[in-house]
Amino acid sequence: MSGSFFGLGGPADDPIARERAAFRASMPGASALDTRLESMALNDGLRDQLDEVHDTFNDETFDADSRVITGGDFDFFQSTTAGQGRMAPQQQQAAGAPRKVMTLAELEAQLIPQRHTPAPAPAPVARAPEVAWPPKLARADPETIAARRAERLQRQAALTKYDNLMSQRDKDFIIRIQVSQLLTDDPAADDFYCHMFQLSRGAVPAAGATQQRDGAGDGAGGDASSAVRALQEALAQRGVQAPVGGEPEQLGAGAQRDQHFGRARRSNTQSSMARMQQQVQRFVNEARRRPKIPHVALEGALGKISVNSARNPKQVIQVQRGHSSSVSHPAHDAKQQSPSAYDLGGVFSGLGDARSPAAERRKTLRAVENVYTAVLRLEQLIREHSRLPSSADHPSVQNWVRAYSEARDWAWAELGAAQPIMNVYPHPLVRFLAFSKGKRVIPRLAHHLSIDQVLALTTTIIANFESLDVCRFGSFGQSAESSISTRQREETELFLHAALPPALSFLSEASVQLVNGLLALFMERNNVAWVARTRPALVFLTVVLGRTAALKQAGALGAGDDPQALYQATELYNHLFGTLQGGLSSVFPPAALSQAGDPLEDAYAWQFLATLALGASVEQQHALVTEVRDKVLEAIQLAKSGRFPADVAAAITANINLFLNTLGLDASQVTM
Amino acid sequence: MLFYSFFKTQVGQQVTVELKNDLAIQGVLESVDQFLNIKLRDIHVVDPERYPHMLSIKNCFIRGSVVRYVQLSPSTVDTALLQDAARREAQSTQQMNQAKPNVAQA
Repeated sequence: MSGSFFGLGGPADDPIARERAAFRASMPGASALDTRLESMALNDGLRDQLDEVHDTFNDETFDADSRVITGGDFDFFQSTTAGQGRMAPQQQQAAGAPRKVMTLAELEAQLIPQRHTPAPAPAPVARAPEVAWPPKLARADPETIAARRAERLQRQAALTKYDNLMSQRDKDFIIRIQVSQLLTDDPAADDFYCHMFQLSRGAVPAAGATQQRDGAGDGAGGDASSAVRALQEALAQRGVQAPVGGEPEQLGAGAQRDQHFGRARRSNTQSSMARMQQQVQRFVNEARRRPKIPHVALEGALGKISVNSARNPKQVIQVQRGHSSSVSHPAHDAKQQSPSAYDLGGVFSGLGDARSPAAERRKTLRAVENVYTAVLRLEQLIREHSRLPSSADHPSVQNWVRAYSEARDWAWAELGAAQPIMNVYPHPLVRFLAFSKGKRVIPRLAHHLSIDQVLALTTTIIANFESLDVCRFGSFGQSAESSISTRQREETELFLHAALPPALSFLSEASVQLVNGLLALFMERNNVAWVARTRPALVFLTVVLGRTAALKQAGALGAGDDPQALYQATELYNHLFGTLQGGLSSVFPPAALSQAGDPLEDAYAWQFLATLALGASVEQQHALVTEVRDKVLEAIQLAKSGRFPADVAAAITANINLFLNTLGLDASQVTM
Repeated sequence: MLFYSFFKTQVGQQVTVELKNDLAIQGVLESVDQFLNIKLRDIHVVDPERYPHMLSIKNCFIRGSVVRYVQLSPSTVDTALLQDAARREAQSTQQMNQAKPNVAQA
């Protein structure tokens, strides 16, 4: 606890630092270079400067009264006789007091009066540099040179006095014990977080580490590399090596030394690193030969001794590991009584396969976790893919393909999107999506699914749209008094940002027939007027209508889509419009234009109206304008009212213009 | 090994370690080992008045078993990745527990 953690700075005047330095010196590869390092480490950079006690240069400021300094003329250069007079008694005290063993200090104490006395009258500027900073290089006195050499030899002798107490075999033994505790069977899995984190943040590989680790660490290389990295960190602490993990500020002193000794030191550490790697390799091979058993039972002894390592630490708490798949809790009323805590959208209060909502919930949770397991496996396989041989008929490639499709099929089965729609209510997929972690895994899984599977997923979502949890509370929250709670809002956001985009991107690339079919399905299975009040439904409709309009334009240009499908699209549109007519003003969220709400909340509603207007005929446009007129006026008034800063008002106007421009109007044309 | 792996990514970050004896130390994480022993540098104690003996200390080594909390900054943590790593860890311990009875008898 001396403040010199790395052994830098300060003379080695405590036995601990000395022994530490001694151990370091005795490490294999000690050479003249290390000795120089040592002396440099012990040297505190002040060379032949005065010890603190003898340095009287600033005594006037440090010992002085503040009034003296700020009051009359303060002479910084001690040119007055008063200053000198005060110095003399102090010197005598200082020189007498610390009778240290160091000969150098004694000599310098004698030298001080010689330095100070012949300097009374001349210009203060000339005096100042003579005394203290910057330190002059080697003085020509043969005495001081000899004194310094003697001093250095003494220090060396003191340090090497206890060298070579341990043989190399002893050191290997100890290192083997420590390293063997770090060794793991599967370093890629054990160090997963660290490895992937560094990859994602742009890892800086440690200097001198030659092993490149990829996701599926193989055999001996993998084992050794994790242990070697641990050792590298240990070395880095001692300031011997360049930093790990891209944090150069950690070892400023080490960086300084780098500049001084450059290549020579680097090769020195590299060779010791290489030696350590060989050692670790040997340990790994030995550990491999005998498999590690957590319990050791000797012959004729009573009982077992448990061997603790990092992998199976000493257990502090006893956890009962029963079979967690049993679902027999018929009288689980607690969860039923407070559904709001668990089940925001009322999704779990419907009928299901299992006996109770709680059991149903647990089943769905198990399915979500299985999908996660499968997705992790898929991602791992993708990472391994790069390491496979390129020829297609190599057995490992076939294994890979089989493993990949197995995992994918399992995930698909667990997802439940392919289950027939009529069986249970709510649909298993809907229950799956009721959890936020279910919503989060969808985009990751969709990345691996085939087009058909994505289509099936989209179809199922559309067919059951109104039973989705986000739609259920989205619609409940439309009454005047209540507003959507924070958690519901988060779930909706998550749904729109995670679960829906794969379906939407599929839609935006789909053909006319597909889009028509899906829109028809949507209108058939859901109560459009009711569900149109919810944001997810509006977003979905916006995308569908936008796609239809784009396809119609392409068809008008003669891009080759069959006209019957386009005609059908128009029919569907009319049907949709008819259903929505009369309720269009309820498309807007209730709290949007009130005092407390965010005025830009209704952007999605304006976007929907804009896409709706795209496909509208003239009469439909008239009807549209009539219905939404009040809202438009209100919004324009709000923008002009000056209650909001300029950019917010501009954004409100832009939203309105989205809608008005498709009709050929503009907000500025509206006269109040 | 999950916590060890996690703390390895925190090396170089400012953390606050609260010990079981209510001493809270703020510093830059220097290193961590398999037992979650922690080395900190450039430390300062959160409540210096109660612990005047810590004024001069710059670096410290904290035994893992005396740590109660480690406070981190959230921007240095990738929670989705952490969830994945936790799932993998759970799977591997499950596999190990299933395999154990066989090994012990062997």
